[in-house]
Amino acid sequence: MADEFTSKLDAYLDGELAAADMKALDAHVRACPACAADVLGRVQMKRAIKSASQRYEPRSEFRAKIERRLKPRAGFPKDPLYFRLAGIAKHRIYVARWPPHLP
Amino acid sequence: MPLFSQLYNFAHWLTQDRSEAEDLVQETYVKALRGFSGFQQGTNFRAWMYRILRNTFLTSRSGSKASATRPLEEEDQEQLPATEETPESIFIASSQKEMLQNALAELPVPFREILLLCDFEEMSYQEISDTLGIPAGTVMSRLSRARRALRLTLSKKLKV
Repeated sequence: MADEFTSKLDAYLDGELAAADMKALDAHVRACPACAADVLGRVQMKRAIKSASQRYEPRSEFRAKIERRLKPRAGFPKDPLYFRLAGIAKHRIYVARWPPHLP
Repeated sequence: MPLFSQLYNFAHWLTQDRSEAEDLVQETYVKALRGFSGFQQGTNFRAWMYRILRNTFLTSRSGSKASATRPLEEEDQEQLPATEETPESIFIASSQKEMLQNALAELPVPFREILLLCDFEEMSYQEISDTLGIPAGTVMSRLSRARRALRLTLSKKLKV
């Protein structure tokens, strides 16, 4: 297994290599059984970590408590993070739909 | 509520305690509300929220204790056994999700958090860099050491 390539395998799988490096590594992995086996093991481990990491769910009572705190309270209509977060979400949807469909 | 479940999951992984995780998430939202004027529109909101949560954790009692563990460089001193079967292949064959969760929980916080951000949250190296406040080059090297440490922890568990 070529050390030159092994050191880049994580970044390769994370999609973080420059296009030229990605192409070179692609070609190497196709031709090198040791690196291909290494890549397979790393891909499986990444998937296993993703699945194992979803471990903790917030209690519904806790979620409700935080939602109550973030919702605008009577008499305090200004500055709620709730509205601001909603504003960001709306902005993101708008950007995602750009350019707008014209009639 | 945006990011709520993910932030809670991350907080619980950091603190390893439900009550502390709830306090941490609550404080994160309070700080986000208070400091929202400091958030620049168009920059990464997710990284900003995770950064608040992580910084809050690091200044907490359990966070400062966790960050005072042995230096990360020591992980590199330990060598993986040279066998045909890799920790991955044995692990995958046995499909022991719980063992992987325990191995992740045993990692030092800097390794645990970077693996969660990369492999669970699927953040880019730049997002991780923004969240942890470290250069992108450090993200790459720390991730590599974290993965090595996880392999080592798993291989030790598989020997028992």
